[in-house]
Amino acid sequence: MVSARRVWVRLGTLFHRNRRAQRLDDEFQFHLDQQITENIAAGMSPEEARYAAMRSFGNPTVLNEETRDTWGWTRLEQFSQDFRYGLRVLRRSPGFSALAILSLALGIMAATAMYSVIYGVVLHPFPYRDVDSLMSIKVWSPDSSRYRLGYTVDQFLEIAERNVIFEGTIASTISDVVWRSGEQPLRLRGNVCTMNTFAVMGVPPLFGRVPTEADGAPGAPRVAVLGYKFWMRQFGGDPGVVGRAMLFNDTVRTVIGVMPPRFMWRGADVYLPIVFQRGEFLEGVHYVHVLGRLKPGVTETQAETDLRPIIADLKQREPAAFPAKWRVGLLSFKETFPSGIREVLWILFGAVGMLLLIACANVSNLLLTRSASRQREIAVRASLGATRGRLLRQLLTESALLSALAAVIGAALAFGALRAILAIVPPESIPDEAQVALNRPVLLFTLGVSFVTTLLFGLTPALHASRGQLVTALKESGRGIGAGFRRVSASGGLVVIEVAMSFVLVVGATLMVRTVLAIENENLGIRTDHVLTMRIPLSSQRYTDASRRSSFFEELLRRIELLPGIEAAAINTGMHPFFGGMETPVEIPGTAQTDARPVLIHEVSRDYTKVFGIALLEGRLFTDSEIAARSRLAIVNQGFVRRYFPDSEPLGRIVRVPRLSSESHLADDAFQIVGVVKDALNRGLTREIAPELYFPHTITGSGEFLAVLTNTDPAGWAKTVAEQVYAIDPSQPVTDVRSMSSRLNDWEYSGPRFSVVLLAIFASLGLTLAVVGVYGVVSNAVAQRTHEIGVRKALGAGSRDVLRLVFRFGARFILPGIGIGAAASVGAARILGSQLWGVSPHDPVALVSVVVMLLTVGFLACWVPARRAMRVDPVVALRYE
Amino acid sequence: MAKPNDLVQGTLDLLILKTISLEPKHGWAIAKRIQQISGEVLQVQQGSLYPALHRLEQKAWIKAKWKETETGRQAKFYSLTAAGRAQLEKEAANWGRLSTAINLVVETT
Repeated sequence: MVSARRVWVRLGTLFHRNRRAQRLDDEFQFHLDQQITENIAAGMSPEEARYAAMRSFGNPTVLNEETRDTWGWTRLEQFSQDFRYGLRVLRRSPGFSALAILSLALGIMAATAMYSVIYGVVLHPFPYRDVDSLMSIKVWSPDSSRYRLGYTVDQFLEIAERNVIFEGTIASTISDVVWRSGEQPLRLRGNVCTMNTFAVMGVPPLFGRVPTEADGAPGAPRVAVLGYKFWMRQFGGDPGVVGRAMLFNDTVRTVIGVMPPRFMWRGADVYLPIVFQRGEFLEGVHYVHVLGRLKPGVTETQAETDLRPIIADLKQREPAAFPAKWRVGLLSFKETFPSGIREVLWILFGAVGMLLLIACANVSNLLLTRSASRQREIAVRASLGATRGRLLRQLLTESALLSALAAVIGAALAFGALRAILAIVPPESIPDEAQVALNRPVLLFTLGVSFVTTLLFGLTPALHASRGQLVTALKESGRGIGAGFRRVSASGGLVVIEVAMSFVLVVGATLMVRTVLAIENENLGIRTDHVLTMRIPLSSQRYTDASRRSSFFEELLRRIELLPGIEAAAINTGMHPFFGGMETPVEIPGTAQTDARPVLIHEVSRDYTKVFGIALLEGRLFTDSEIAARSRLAIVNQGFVRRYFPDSEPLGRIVRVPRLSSESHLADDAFQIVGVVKDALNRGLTREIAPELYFPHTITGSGEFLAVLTNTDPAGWAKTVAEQVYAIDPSQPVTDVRSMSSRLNDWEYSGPRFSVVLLAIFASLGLTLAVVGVYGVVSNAVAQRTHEIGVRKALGAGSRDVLRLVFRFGARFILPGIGIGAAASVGAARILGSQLWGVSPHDPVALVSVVVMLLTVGFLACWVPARRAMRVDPVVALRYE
Repeated sequence: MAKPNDLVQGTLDLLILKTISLEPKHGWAIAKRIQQISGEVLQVQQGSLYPALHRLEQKAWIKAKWKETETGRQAKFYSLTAAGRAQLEKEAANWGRLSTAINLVVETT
């Protein structure tokens, strides 16, 4: 009760200070008036009465202060004085303040935004319970860098039933699921998964429930769980969807639950939990992904020992399923589903760290420079009786004010920067589950860094003042020539660091720019304009065999080719320049070749090479009748000829594709080469061209990519072409309809562009800050040496001599900075190496051009103060003597 | 003239609390009262009362209110709070013990 009242009184005092001060005067006045009245009544003259009253009262000013002291809050009052004074100081030199605040804010922005992206994408992208104990099983051959994570249903069941290292083992797929509800069927991304999936992943549903054992009982109704995005998109977030029956892949399933937003396991729209049975054929799925939750305390060696006999048994049953020499092990969840831009992000984070350092160095430098000019002010304050503590408090308040302003601006900028970065993140490069938001701990950290920096360098004048240099400082009339040297060398060191780091940043950005230019200028070997592409995945339930599938496509191509404005249309299992369909070793009968490296297989219709403009060099293409007859004919590329027929004529030779007979159950897997086409990029833009073999798509009927060459804007043709599909089969979905150029942009160009844009921004910010640093230190030196320059001029030095003087001073920072930067950039470029393509990490052109660039901007920064120095009038300069 | 410091601080607090324990008073009246009752022995520099009054107010032992005096002027009247009354009893008891102790020492030797 007492304390509550006390708090109330104290708060009242705090918030009504001015009124209370006013009333205190009234109170004193009343007292004096009372006393005067009494004195007059006692017979004094009014004059006398007044003096007597005041004598007995005491010194009102002192009493006033003493009284106000009892109100408390003195510290706060002083703080508010310091605060207001700090604001005035900032306003008095707006250029300095803006530079310092902006430098810090930029550093805070870049570091916070970048780290937030890394945290969301790389460090903590998954919402699943204890992600570190979720493991995939990987089988690999010591001879190859590739490994497998997919297993057939039978293999999965064997692993799931026999292993003792996992608490739970789940299988999942990414399958096309057709959902039929209205006129047009929708193709969804489905995940056919085991019943225990949700329990093992450890995420409760947003609405409804997840499957239980009972849902897997024989005869139990089939169930489905919806993904959040799909649910929002299709049902607008209506919880009433739970309990509804829906038709997925022509099977009725009851929706039992909706998963929360970040549960994006395999990015599915819909989860179809089933009980996997041996010998089961999952539509369109060869392999399922196997994931287990490791029991606590199981080591990697134990896991290997446990899994080894299981895989050995599987291999004994199906020798072809695993490589001859194999090993088995675990792959962590984060490595199984990594972000494609993980390395880039870390590199960018390094760049941002350097930017933050440059920003801090810059602010320190500015503060040091200013502290020189405030030496006199501080000395005056100290000699008027300000205690050291009071001075420190005042400077502390100013520094804190500076960094607080920077913090607010920086945090706001970081918020914007984060959104900007996310807007240019390459498509499909971050895990679906990732949720990127401003990271508060990091924001606090960067704010802390900026606060400490300003504090450290903002307090120097007070430290100087307390070293008994008062007299010197006062005598020096604010020029601070004698005291200036040490500080100049300190801030000079900072400027060298700034120049060095901005050098590294600019080299990195230049190398990335050259990489992007190399990638964009690369000759793809195919035409990419006027090409419309789409995927038409035929359902294997309705198109059960190769002839049905290929006749669907032949009919579709016939219809599309009839459209006026269409030049050509073709089908393939894959698409240049991204990938072929299958990658498999081939054999050349009658030769001893044992090259086990794979060949890319394209299963094409007649006009594929025409659509993409791939030139025929030798022989001929397939004819319509050969395609219809499923003739075993092949066309190969130059790479194929180079590998298999370096010295002989390829035309007429036979090539066997053993995998076709073993996996696709083709009786005849021998193809006769009838043509040779020109090489075109076929494994992405940055990998060398692989040998290719084309054969008619009618043989296996597994084509699904349609490419159409149009004579106008390809995007405008999307609807017309899709209508041809619907005309043949109204329930056949069409997906991924895009022009070739936009596909190229998303899949090939946007990644390097992402790095180059961010690196270029960071580098130019770093460079700007460094230039500001050079400018600051040089112009400060010129200001301090005005007198010296005046003397030199008076003694006959010309403008050129003054210019040389200033430039020589600037070179003391610029040249070592460039030297250190060049050395550091050698190491930095090696780190960047994995992101570079078509340019050496030690590219001399980049290095030399950056040296020239930094020299130029560095000396430009000296030029401005140098001109000021040249204009110094000796008479004016000497008058200060 | 006695300086305010000559009065032990706690003593001045006790005097103030005691003086206003019967009825609310303004600063001048408090000063006058202390002088009169003590038979002009305790000379308080009148102004030094105010820091003490404000300190007590911050401690919430006394509260203040602006009211009109008999002569029709606005003055700040101080009165005891419940906490102040408790404090007064405590300090009076302390004072009693202290003065008895001092008397004992002084008179026996």
